Amino acid sequence: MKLQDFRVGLRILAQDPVYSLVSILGLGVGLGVCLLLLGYARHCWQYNAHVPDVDNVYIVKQRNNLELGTPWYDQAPLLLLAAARTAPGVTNASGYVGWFPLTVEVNDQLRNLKSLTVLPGFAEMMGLRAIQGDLNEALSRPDSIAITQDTAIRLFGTSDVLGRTLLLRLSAVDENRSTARIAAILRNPPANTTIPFEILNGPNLSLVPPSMRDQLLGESDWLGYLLLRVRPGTSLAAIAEVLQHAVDEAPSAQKVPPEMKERLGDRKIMDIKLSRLRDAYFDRDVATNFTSLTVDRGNSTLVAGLVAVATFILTLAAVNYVNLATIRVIRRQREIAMRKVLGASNGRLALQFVVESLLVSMLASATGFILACLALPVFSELMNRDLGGMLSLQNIGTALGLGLLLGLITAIHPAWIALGVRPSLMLVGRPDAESLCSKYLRRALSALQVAVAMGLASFTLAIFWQARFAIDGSPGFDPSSLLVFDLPVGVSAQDEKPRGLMAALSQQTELTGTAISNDAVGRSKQPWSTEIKREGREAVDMDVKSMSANFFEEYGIKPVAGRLFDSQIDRENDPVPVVINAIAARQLGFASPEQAVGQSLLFRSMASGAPALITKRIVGIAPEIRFYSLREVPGAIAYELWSNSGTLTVRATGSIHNAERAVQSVWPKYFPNSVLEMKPAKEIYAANYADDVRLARLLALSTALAMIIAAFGMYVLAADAVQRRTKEIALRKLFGTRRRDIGKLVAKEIGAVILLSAVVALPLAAVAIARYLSPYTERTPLAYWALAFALLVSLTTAAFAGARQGWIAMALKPAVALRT
Amino acid sequence: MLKLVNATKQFAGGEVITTALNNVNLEINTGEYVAVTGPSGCGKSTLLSILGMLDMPDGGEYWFDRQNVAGWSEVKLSELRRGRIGFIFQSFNLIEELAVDENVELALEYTNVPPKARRERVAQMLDKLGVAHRAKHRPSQLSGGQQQRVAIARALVNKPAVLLADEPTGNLDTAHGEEVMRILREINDEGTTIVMVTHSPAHAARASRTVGLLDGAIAEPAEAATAT
Repeated sequence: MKLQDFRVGLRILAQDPVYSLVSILGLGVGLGVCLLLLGYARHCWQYNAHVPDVDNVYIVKQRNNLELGTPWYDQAPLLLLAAARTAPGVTNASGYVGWFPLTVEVNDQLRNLKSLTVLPGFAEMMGLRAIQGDLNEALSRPDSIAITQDTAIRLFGTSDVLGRTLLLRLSAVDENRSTARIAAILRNPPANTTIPFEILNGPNLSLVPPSMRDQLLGESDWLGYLLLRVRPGTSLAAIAEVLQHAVDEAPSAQKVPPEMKERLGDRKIMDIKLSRLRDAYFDRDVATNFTSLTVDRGNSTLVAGLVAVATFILTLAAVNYVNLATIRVIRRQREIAMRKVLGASNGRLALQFVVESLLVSMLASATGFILACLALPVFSELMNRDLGGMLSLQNIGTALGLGLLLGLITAIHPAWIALGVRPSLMLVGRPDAESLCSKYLRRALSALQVAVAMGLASFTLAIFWQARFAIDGSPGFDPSSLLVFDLPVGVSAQDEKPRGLMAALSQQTELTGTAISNDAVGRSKQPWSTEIKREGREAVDMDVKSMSANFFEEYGIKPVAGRLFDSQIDRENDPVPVVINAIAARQLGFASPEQAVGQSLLFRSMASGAPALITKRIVGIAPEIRFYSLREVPGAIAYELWSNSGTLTVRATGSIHNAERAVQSVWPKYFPNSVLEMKPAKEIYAANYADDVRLARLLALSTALAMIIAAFGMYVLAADAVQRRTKEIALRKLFGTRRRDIGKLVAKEIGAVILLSAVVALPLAAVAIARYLSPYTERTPLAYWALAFALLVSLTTAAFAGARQGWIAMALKPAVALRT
Repeated sequence: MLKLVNATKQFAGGEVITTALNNVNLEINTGEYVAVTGPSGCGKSTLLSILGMLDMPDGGEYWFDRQNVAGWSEVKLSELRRGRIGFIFQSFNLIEELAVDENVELALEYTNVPPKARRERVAQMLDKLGVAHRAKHRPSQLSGGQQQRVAIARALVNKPAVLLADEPTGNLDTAHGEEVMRILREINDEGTTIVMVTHSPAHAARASRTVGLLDGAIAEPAEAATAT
């Protein structure tokens, strides 16, 4: 590798700056996108990697088999900690709970903070060290806490807050508040952790009620997040066996009625398993766990898909560059021949082209990295993740490494062409031009570019249309005027303050009444199911939704048969009336929904502490209400009157903004210590598809880039075709060919590539679309139209890209062309 | 020094086979100045390519400096060619991305001559050919005559044993053409063997011997000239 080669490379780039800019920018953009997507994938795959020896840290998961269809939860009975400490190979057993979300009062402002109550051993498990102060003291004293640097800056404007105090509240209605001293300041946990926190406190914090402290530190069957560190090579099965035995012998297990044990058969009351902390981010078991703290969760298939997209984009960019570089090499055949004449060996010649390719790829790397940095804030927002840590030395190294690899790979084809140049023909004026094989390869590469762009476009459109179909689809009522908010933790609607709140809200002219339910439509924070049956028939397990008598009125829902709950007829919390949906009626054996009206059902209830059968009477059949996303098969639902829940819904009489202001004005009078978190019902429902919308946006950007790169490719293809066929075009004109026939000639060149691309891309895109749509129970009718639309967009892009060259070909003067 | 024995060269273009050289026997001694004449398409450039080891005969033998190089690999030919054969072309074939001195130095780049010695040789050669004052210019900034002198400098900087010139005055006006012919004469006087392809009878007469080529075979120069 000689300096001369770099000098020649630079001069060649400078000779045709537009061409060079297209090469570098095309490759740079591809690299930039690739860096962002790969950086994001790395961010996802590195969740919890900051925990020391994370591959040997496990979460204890449990599944309660007493309720049919219960998923695995990442929380387990706290009594298992004592058992775990005796299990072979366990070197540390600790955990944390989020039972005590703390609200902080600073400068008369209330702020909810992510607080964790951690058990002994947690700091060591997580490798936490105080930057200032004493972490041990912060977690053991009743008047101390630890906070993170960022939290300190947010609350006090500085991170130098050791020894300062905070006024903490535990519950919004409980007047219990206490001052705690900041005894330790911690480094911020990384963005990619499933155990984020802003404040840590120990179980001895004075705000923690004594009864709960006993549960935390004793052998309680209350649930918490349990973490175990094990020695490498330890048998996980042995540990799981110890824990399973502990749960089987627990006092709560002994209280399960015999008939329920009999129903379980061979299954345990509670299954226990260990799951790596490293895998927590992608754990689909717990992604929708309503009891989980709200932490980042990811989809490994989606991330793998994004890596594939990154690879596609980079391949496109590389293919584009190879095409451009190849054309350049063809134009330099005379120079290459001369070098061979002067004695350049094949190796030396190939090295020169490698150097030139490396020059472009390293410039492109730098360009790509800068573009990635500039786009990072927007990308972070799009992915709904804090990706600031992506600007690391490691990622800079990756960018350089990728550029180096790309430079070497993209040099292969141009170098191969250079090595094939025959000096004897070249130098006597008979250009070797390009071999047929190379020409077809370039066309195939151009077709690949367009195929990738077309495939991406189809897939993106299908996702986008499906997401819009799902979001805009009616959930069974009109959500546009509804606002939903939750009462503070530990407060239910029948308590004094909420009743006062609801009475005050009913006085607001911007609002109609207030409905109560155990959850918002479209959210699954409080699912509950039970067995329901008709006399003499098999029981059916179905979801039960609890609500106030005015729920259906406020939501504007009308019955399919019979009537729905009516505030004028029904008493709040009346245990007798029940409403079911048509699916429930069918599953219960009714020939039609109408036949179910007036019939009795037996509900298994645990309200009295022991299972009991309660008789309810069906007053009506409700229409399908989309409590879940379109990915779930609609199931049997029963609605009962029970208003001791915590989710309130109000309907706006006019503007929803005025309604929001009305609620905001009333709330502080009843819950001055609690932050109101209110959302339009439509937004809650749309949150089920937030990932799809995010994916569609990301793919749309990728598609746009792919189209731009493909358009470059088409432009180059058209330019090359015109240049190659200049004499032919001139001769055709001499023989009287019309302009439009010349235009058709150019169009045919590009058209052939588009056709080949469509044959490759569209079937594959159709398969990808089918796979994406398969989990949905309802699908947009437009999905497969995305293929036609993508083809149209590709044709239009190619037409624009080739238009200029087509015009040049049509305007070519035969005399001039034949002379040169 | 150079000897072709029954050399044959054919080119296949689809179903058509063209015989460019047909049983050519030619011997060129060290220090000779040979002109090759003939009409267009008679095989002159093919002959030069074979003599310069840019191509090999399909049949027969080619002896270069007492070695039969017919059938040698491209790698071996390239090594043998390096530094021993200089080329001058009608269209100069200078590399536009390199300055004049860099173009000349290119011929030394593939040899073992150390960088300092290279620069000295280049400077001497440019001076000898009267283009030293244009050392840092690009080829497109030079006149045709100057470009050909640079090409000659490049061909000679390695002190080759043989100089092959393919229509060296073809793209030059009369005055510059005369200049180039004078330089070639001087080079030959210094002992370099020259084989020159030319259409010009006047320029062919400057050589010590003229070889005629007609339809791929050696012919009398007069016969070849009549056919032109």
